[in-house]
Amino acid sequence: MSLSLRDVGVTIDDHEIISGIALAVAAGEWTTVIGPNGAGKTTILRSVLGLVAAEGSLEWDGTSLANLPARARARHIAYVPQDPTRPPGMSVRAYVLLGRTPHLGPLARESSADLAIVDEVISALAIEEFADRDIATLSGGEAQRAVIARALAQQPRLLVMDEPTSALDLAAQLDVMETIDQVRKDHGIGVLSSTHDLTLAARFVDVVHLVARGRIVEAGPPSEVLTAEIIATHYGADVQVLTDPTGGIIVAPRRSPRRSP
Amino acid sequence: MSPSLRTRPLTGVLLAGAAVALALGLGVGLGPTTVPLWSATTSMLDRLPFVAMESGLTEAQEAILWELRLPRTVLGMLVGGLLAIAGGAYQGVFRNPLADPYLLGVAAGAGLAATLGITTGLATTNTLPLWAFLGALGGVALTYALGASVGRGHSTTVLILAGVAVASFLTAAQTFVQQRNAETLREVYSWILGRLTTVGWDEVLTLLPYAAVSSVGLLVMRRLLDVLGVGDDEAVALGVPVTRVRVAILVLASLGTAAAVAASGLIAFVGLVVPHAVRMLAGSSYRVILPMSLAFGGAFLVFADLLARTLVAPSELPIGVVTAFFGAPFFALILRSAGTARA
Repeated sequence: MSLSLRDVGVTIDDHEIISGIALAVAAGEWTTVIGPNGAGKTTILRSVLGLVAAEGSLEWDGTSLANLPARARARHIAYVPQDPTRPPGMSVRAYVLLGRTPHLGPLARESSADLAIVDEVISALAIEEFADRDIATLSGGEAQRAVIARALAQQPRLLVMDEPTSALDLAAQLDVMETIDQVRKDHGIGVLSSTHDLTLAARFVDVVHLVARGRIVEAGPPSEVLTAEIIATHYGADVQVLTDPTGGIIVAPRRSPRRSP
Repeated sequence: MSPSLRTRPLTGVLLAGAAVALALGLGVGLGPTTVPLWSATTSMLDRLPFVAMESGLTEAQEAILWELRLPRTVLGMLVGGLLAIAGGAYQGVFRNPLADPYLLGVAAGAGLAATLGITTGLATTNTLPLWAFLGALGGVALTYALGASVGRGHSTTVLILAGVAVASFLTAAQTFVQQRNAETLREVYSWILGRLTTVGWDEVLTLLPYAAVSSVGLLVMRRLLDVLGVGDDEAVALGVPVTRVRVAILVLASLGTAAAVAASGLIAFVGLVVPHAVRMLAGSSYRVILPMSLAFGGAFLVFADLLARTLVAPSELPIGVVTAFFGAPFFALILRSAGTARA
């Protein structure tokens, strides 16, 4: 079960958003796209989800995604949006249950098997505590776990996550990343994410794709892509790349001297 | 009250059943001639196959029951239920709590066509509903066409704005036609303010097939309304063909509204307020809101009609006046109590 993009492009209103995109995500592998704002990270993710019309070859397990009906696609690929809509008044449990939608006929109702899967996911993500609360009242970290739970209730083979930690505090960021890491290792689920947090990404992901102006300009393991030189070139930011005692990469911004008082 | 209803669906079913039963009993029993509830019940049972019961009603009472009260009550149930369930569906499809059956130019289209029918003298009492029905569907079609011509992508907001534009235009046209034909003003007004007057079962039988298709269709699709609640992108990612589902629900809701408007004129407020009241009492899932709206909308309109025909008896108030006059304060009351409960 793997995702493979070759020469993928998206053009909206005669404006080329991304082009020539090639990347692959194997089962259990975590790939992230990084890059400056407006580089096209989200568009890459949306093309995989079928939310924008894309040219080129997008294949899931050898089948063209264009030939896969929305429901079939949703049984393989689940989406964790950057800013999920949380309908007020909906309990977390009901929200997670929405993840069963692609497994139900358009007019069918959930079976006890569906409810059992929901219970399983809820306990796997340790969100029983607030399973009966209104989804709209959760904190950012709690909500993100609920959204991941909904995605897992789809029983997908690939998770597509748009900046999954961008709105979270430090503890919740780590917690969410550990959760994703555990899920992909336990169930062999591939992960395609986007992020701005290079240090955090370096701790978890296998492959980094750096996107700039709609194209992938660098790709490889974090240690190869996250160098001060590459980051300076494409982000236009002055950074220091350090290594902590455990071998983890730290991307630390540096103030440019001329702006200092 | 709200948490218990949310966790115990049976309470909601019983409450809805009780409201419908009470409305049916009062609607049938009350009026210038009282028909005792027990006798009315036995008379109804007597008409079932293989049941023979003596109701003790006089011939006049029997006629009042079967030719006036019962058809009027059933018509009220159907119209109120349809307007309310359609209102709930519109609110879900547009994710907009202010959406109601009149939003898409349905009512304005019906109003214009009915006014044209009355003023030209082409519409008779029997064919007036048909005029209204065609006008209602025409109004919706115009709104869709305008919305679609603007462009894809922002369909929800664009459609609502198109509805506002179409409704304003059709209402202006209707007012113009009405002003040019002062001699039929009264007749037009009585239709526009809504009425449930009926003799016999004709209106009920005409309305029934539309009511069945619309309400059964909406009930079957109500789970998908909950999925639409997370927004278009996420719903697509969950495998829902959002555009097709939205159009199907809009067509079903508009069909029900058009049929209701055709049967009884423009009755405001029911489609907006009933789903909201249900939402406050029983939570925000459309699986609950739609069936409960159907039941409570029906009961609400029968109660409103009861007031319309008894308050100033022997004459009648237009039912649209009653639904707004009593519905608004009632709604304000629920709004307040729900607010206090949450605080």
